[in-house]
Amino acid sequence: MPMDRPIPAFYCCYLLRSTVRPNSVYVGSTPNPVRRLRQHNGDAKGGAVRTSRASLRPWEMSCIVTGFPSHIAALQFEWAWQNPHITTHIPAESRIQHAAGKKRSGPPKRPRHSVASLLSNLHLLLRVPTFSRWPLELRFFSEDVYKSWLKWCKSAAKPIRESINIIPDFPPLKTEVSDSDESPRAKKRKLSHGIQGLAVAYENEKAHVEKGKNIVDFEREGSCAICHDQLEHGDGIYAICPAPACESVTHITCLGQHFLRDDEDSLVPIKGKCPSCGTEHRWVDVVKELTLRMRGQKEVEKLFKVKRARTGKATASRAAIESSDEEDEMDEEAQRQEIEDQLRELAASDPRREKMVGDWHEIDDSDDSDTRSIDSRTSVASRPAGTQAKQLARLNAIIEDSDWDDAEILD
Amino acid sequence: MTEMLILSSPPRQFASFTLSSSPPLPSMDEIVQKRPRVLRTGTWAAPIPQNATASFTSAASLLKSTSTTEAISAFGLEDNVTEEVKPAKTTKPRKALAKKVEGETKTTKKPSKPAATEDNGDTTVAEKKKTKPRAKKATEDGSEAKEAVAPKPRAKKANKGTSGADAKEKPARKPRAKKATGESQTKLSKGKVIKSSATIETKADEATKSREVNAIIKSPELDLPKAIQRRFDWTPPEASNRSSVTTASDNALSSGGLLSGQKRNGFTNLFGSYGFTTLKVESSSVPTPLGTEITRKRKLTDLVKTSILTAAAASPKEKEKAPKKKARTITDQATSAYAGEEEEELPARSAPLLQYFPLQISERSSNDGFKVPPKPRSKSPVKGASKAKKGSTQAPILLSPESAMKQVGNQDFVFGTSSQLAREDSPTLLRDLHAAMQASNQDDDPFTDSVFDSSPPRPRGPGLTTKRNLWSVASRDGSGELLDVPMIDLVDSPTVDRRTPALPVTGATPLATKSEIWHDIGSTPAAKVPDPAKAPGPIEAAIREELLSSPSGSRGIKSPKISKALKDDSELPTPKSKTRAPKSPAKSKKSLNKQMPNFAAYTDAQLAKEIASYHFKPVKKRDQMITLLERCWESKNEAILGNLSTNLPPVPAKTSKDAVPPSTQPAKPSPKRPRGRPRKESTVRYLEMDSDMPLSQARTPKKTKKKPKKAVEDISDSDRAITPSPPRRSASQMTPLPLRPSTSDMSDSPELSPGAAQDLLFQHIGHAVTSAPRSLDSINPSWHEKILLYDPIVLEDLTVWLNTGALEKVGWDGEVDPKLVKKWCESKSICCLWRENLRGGARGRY
Repeated sequence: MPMDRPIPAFYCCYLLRSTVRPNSVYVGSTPNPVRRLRQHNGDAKGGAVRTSRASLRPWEMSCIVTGFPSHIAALQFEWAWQNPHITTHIPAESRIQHAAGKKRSGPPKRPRHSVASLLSNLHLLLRVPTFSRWPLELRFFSEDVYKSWLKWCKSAAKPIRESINIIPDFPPLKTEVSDSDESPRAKKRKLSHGIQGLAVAYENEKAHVEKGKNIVDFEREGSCAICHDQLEHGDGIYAICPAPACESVTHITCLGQHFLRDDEDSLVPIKGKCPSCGTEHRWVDVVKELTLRMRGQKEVEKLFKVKRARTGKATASRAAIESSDEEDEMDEEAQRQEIEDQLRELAASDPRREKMVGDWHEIDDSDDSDTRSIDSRTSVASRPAGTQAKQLARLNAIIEDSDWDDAEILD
Repeated sequence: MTEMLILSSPPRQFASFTLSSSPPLPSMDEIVQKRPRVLRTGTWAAPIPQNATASFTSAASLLKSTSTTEAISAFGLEDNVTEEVKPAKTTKPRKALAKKVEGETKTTKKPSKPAATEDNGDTTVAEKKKTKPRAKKATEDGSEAKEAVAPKPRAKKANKGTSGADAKEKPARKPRAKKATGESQTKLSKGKVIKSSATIETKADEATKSREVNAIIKSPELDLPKAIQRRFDWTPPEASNRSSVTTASDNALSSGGLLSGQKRNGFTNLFGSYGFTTLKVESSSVPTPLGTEITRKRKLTDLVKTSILTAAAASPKEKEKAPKKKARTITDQATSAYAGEEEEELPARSAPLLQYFPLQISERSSNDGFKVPPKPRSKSPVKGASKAKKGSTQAPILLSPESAMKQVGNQDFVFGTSSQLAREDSPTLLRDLHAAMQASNQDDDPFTDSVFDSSPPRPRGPGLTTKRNLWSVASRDGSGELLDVPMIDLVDSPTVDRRTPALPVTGATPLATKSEIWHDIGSTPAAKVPDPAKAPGPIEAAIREELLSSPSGSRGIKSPKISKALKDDSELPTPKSKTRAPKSPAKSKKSLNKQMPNFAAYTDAQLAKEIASYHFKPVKKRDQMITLLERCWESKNEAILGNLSTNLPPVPAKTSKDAVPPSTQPAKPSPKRPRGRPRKESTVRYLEMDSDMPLSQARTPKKTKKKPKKAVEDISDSDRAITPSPPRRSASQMTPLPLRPSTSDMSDSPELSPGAAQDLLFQHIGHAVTSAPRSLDSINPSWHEKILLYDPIVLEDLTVWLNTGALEKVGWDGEVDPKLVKKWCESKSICCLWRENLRGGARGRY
């Protein structure tokens, strides 16, 4: 079973905190934090039951871990973060939290989480070999959480990998959804803050994808910039430098080795310099475009289609966010079109979270039931698209409930 | 030729008929009743009578040659026989078999006798029916009949169409339907019988007998020359072939009847006695019109074959069949004693038949061979019990409950697969084998015991005696005379200490060596008798000191237990080390400074580390780790010591051996070696030793140098106990230790913790992954590319890939556990997952 989808544009694990009671915390994962937060807050269907208590709402995403190279990776990380007392990724000697006794049903009881405990475990998880080389980034949306993070960093036994970006992103002013559709994404990100400012689609890769498409379409691969072998068109997996001006193409293995020159033991590169232009790139940026080229035909189409079809409108992610935020305002036609698009996609392939836009896919985010294992989750995710599509409209609440029931049982 | 045969055959017939008369004859009524039927079928077809005339002539000739009355009586008998066979078929398969046997006996005795062959035919057909599934039988019969019909004159065909085919086809269909409905077998067999009678009689019996009977009746009217002429006119080329074919057996009666079909039938019947396939071949070959000359040749050769084979081949066939029928399962044998009545009934029935068939009897007796164990078994109740197990028809003796319990108590149980149990000639053999193995295992061959024997020291009593005996045998020189070497009880006699130092360096003079050997061997077991209470003498203590200061250094914490064990057996090395000490004190000091570390006292982590240092894969169980380490240590030490001092190896061997028990198991009274690898390895070693023998022989000065060969024989034959004699153990002999390679590997990476071993594996995995060729297909990236693409790695798949050559290519011999692969992935920050999730479902896609 070959991997059939590109590296997701966005996937994050988030630390949700009640704004009412800062000790109430929740860990989840989502490809679309804005939508997910709305669910948690009850603005949209499909929130986790654990966050359904009205007295705790509204919730805020105080901190997110982004950059997961696959939804499986994100789910694994999420589970490990939710269950730091039992995850095997944390070696026994460095485990911070231990099981708080045993449940009546047998499995060890999860200790009660707090912001501090979750942050310390996050720090630990970012250090453990399983996750240490993942292309993760940390974003803090609330200052006090960031402070406690910094505090923990000082007291932690070891620092986390330096190359892990830690981005404090506090709202200097009230967040508002900008309606200026024409403004470029980069600009928008600067303007908007918090989760609204996150790029949850491939817009950042657009230039790269376009360049790559160009090179491949016109078979201008040339020779590998590292081993100088001729790169036969379509006869291998070639990486293309993300730098806009650079057209160096390499074997992915060559570039990987090039990136790992100083680290012979490792297999997963983190970042390196392009052999041609010398610009430093994160490996994930190189590979994301590559996977889009290899497996993300639909995503690429969408990336370009949106621009062409909806000139003057929001870009894909923007549209997604808006569609969920302002669904009432959306005109009937546009909504129908969306639905049709989604249905087509659902019929064509199994549902992908990153593509789920609008209220149709809220069910997909019921994955936040925090106690379920990754396996079960992914099996849920791989549930036949048809049934899911059918259920979507009617059974949202029920499914959510059942999810929670599962969680209770497993707990 | 034909004439000759015709003339010769009748007397045989006669003889055969007398034989065939043995089974009870049916009443005359029956015969009379049946004959008309036969005639009717014969007469139904118009052309047949014409044929019949031809056959009549032959019959006439036959009759002329002999007396008509005789012939008539013969025919009557013959008919009786065939008639008899039919009912036999219907009633019981066994009877039919018996009949068949009878027929066979006839054929064996008189191969050219037609009645017998016909009988054969009948019986073989019956056999066919019995052996083949019924549905098939029916069809086959039908087809057979048709095939047989095909070459025959149309008249016959018509005949069959009316009489035979109808009868045949009906049963052919009916049995199937009836089978489905589940009706009784009798009906089926009836159907068969009808068929058989129809087919066979139409084929052969019918034709021959009816006509012949007719001939007999009309015989006076027939004139012979005419008939012969007609016959020549009549016979197409085929017929002439037939005539040549049938000469030997058929001609006697049916050669006169030149009907090709008839003859063919006779021939097929004859052939049928060899088995169904041949018959089929024959019948199928018949319809194809063959060139006369070719066929003649072939047939002639066939004839030669058959005439010989009827006698020879028929009986082997029977041989094969008889055991099949009598196929005896272990269960049968086991229960035979209790099913005595039935068993007895059968032989009683078949007995008269068997008389006629000596071969089968012999076969039977051989079958029964394991009933009565070839070896007279000496030991009492066990014998009986196992005998019963083996399937003897021994009459069960009712025992009183008490005695039965006693017997059970005394009983030995032999476990094995049924084939094993059946194969072994006698339980005593097994037991003896076992005992011999035990005895040989007990002999302290330091080669075996030291390294591979994980079992604790055993009671030395029996081992001692056997060894003595063997040694007393070995103590004879080539000419069979006793070597005058005094036996010295090293344990008890104080002379030992005095004597041994006086002994010259081993190998210096042959005699000295000899005596030295004696000391070693004689003393070894005695000294080995574990006596923990014994306090070590001063010498022993000294030796122990020496032992403890071996170059490789003692690794672990010495446990009091071990040192105790050391004390116990340190007596043994006394003389040797004494002799050694003056020679090369420094050397021995170095070499002797070895004591097995108390692995039992190690922590698990330490043990794992140690094991890794021996290049072994991590072992999970602590006990296993300990035993493995001990073995490793022993082998290593042995090797080192063997290199250092040729004569000393037994010393560490003993120490180690005795050091093992405290950690592993308590001493067992009955030492049973583990069945698996250790023994295998040890055998390998023996082989090595044996292969080394000539060399060592040459090296060891022996008194009887004239007959080195014999000496070698002695060594290999008698006992391994001989091999460990010190002078023979040269360093070169010590080297081929199985565990040696790993120790030599050790030098490359002296200290490998389990983590290090894992690292090594991980390095190999990483190398395997990165060194694999790039994929040319972007849909199926190589593993390295997948990793670079952040693809979640499916552990099962990667493991399979690694284990199917990828690891081998990078020089890692062995397989990886998927869990280890997972560890590797995680250590490399590679996102991995199991294809199978916790609920047993398999992930189809990502």
